[in-house]
Amino acid sequence: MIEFKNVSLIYPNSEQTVIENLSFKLTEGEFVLVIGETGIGKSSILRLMNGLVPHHTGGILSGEIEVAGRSTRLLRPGELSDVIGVVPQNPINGFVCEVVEDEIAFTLETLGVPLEVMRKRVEEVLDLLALAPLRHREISTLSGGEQQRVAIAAALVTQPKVLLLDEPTSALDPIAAEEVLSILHRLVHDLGLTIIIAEHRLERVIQFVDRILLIKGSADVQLGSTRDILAKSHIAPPLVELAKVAGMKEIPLTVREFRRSELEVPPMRRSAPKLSDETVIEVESLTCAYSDGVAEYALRNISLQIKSGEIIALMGRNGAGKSTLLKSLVGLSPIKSGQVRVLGGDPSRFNSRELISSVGYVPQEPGDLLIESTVQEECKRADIDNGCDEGKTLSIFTSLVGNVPVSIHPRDLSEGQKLTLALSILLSAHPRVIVLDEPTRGLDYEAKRKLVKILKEIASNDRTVLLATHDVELVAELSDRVLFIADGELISDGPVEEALTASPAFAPQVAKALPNRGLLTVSDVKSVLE
Amino acid sequence: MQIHPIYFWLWATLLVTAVIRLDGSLFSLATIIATLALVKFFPKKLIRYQTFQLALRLASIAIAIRMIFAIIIGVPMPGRVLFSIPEIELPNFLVGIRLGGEVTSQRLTGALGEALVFAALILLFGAANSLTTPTKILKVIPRKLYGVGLATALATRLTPQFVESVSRIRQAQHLRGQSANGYRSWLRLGTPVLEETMSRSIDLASSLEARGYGVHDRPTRYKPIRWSYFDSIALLPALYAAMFLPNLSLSSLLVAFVLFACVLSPAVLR
Repeated sequence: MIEFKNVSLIYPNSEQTVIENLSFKLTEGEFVLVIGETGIGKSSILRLMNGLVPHHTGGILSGEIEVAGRSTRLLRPGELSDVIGVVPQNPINGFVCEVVEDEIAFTLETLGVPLEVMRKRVEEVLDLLALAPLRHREISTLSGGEQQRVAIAAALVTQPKVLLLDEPTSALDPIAAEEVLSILHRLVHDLGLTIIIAEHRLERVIQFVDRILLIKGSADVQLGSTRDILAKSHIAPPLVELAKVAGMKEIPLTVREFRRSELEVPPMRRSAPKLSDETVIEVESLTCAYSDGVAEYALRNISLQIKSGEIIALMGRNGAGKSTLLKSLVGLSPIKSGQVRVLGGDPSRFNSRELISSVGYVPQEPGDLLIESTVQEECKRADIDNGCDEGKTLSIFTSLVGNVPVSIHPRDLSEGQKLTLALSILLSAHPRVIVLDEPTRGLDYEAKRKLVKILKEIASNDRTVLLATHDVELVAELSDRVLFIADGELISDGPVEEALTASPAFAPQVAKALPNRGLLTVSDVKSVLE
Repeated sequence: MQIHPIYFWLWATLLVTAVIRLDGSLFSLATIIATLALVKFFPKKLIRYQTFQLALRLASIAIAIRMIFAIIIGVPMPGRVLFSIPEIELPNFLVGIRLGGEVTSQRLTGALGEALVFAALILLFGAANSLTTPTKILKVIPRKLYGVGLATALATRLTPQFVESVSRIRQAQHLRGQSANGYRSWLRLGTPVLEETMSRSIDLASSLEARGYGVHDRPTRYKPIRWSYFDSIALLPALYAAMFLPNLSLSSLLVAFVLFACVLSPAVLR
């Protein structure tokens, strides 16, 4: 279906090849996963398949790529749109129309498909992805999972043979992610579609895929069955790491396979973390309105206390009110009643100096905090703003990420490095509380491991870390306490092992594989086995 | 019954013609009241209300500015003196112009009449804009102008995202402890917002490219909207007002009736 023959790719004004002499062949009806560290060329390979690289982005291509017998060299991406459908990384940026139905029909319109055929195809796709009830809705009012489904429907409406998806679940909560992936699984089986997907969160996808394309470097690309690749890959989901720790011969791909091995593992006794008595954050019956005034309340009657040195994870569906709660800590939420106290003061009355020395807030797009044109200037600016000694921010940054050329533009940093730079800028003002909104979007396992280490160190220095996330594995690794928010209300507040084992949708892989033992992470299992 | 997306633009253009042609405060005032009534009675979910609010604000600013100038500057006018403000002596070559002084009733009513004409024009186009969705206009634009229409629709799609980026990045500046006041903070805003808009446009362009935009010479339309008889009939009263409505010296009752019909026709025939 897709064949790469000796493909090499280099971008102009760059000395490094993105891809070197790559050859492989994907057959019809396969579900293939592309993995590799961030920035190593996963998106480039996906975009090569439908000709966006080099036709749209530029770049020098050698070798031959064939999709369903057609060469991408001579055809523009649009001319392949009847055999290959694309779901881009941020579907919301790729939508052209306002209403679901019109968006789905858009590709058919541009291809000049007759009206009667178009009506039928749109209906079919609406049914296939269960979008019929949403057909007249405006896309901007849909949830992340629904938008993802609309993007898939818009790609499938031309009845392509191949579907490409770039990180389809990275912005989704576990339940919405499950929904999208099971739809993809069904499409492979029912329609014989070939699906190629790039994804960082392997724990969500490996049970569905047939083969993996592992990218280790520009000249080091391997294609093999899921089991073979995962056995030797340095990128692996917790389940595979667990199997390696337990010394299993065959790598399990699902929790079910692991459980069948009937591994003997004793339960773990967790000691309650020692907490200081100092209360850093106090929220008292807080009620917040929506900023757009559409729904009634974003938050309803929330009360909680957070002590110094705690690492707290805030979980819940998209749109449940997580961001509103976090923003209330920096005085950016419209408070209707109740109050928020940070270090005894009202954050909405803090002046800028008081604010940065009490709360360091990393927004969902850490890049928003970065305004200068080089990393070095960015750090200097932070030194001036935060009133600390010259070079302090830069030294924090290099101590966290190691050696990075400081003269490059902040936008050219990898996602993980960008996040760390934003963190360093905030840390140089010595805030007592660090708040992160969805920090692991687009981070690979290695970057996540580094983040966990950094945040644990911050917390051990008598600071409080509060983060909103969908990533249960991160929560298991990192936090002591979990808050669940649903529909603007705080529905549970407890220690991490209780919160993550209460419902299967929010359980990490290790807790599913070895249930009822209080084990959450691979390192928990290691410590018990020793 | 679906109203054709172009309908309200034609309707507004015709009424604007009538307002300018008749140039009377009575007719302008009646148009303003009628437009407000139309927006009030139109189904809420079909209106982009914020756009209309913007028009309302603009119209009130126009009236306010005209009235303030009428009080401060002007040619001396006869009529009953309402009140007077201190007058400033102007050099001799500015004969006939006065700063301050007596404010007469005639001067105020004259200015109010002009201001109402302005306000009526702003509100009519504001209503037309808020009662039609730009992407729907895209669907009825003739094929030859498809590219132009698409560019317009894309621009309108990117505008709300642009507004969102601005507010998000201003929040980020607050989080970094930079003051959000003064022109400097707006200067710092430029680069990140521009970068984000650029990357969004590139995403959109690559999505268009991947979805075959511009590949086919004759694109088709999904659920096309056609100009119906109802649209034509509903437009008749507005057409009458623009072309044949006699001078205002005639019975104002007739004027009132025509306006009533102009406004209610789209609402009734919907």
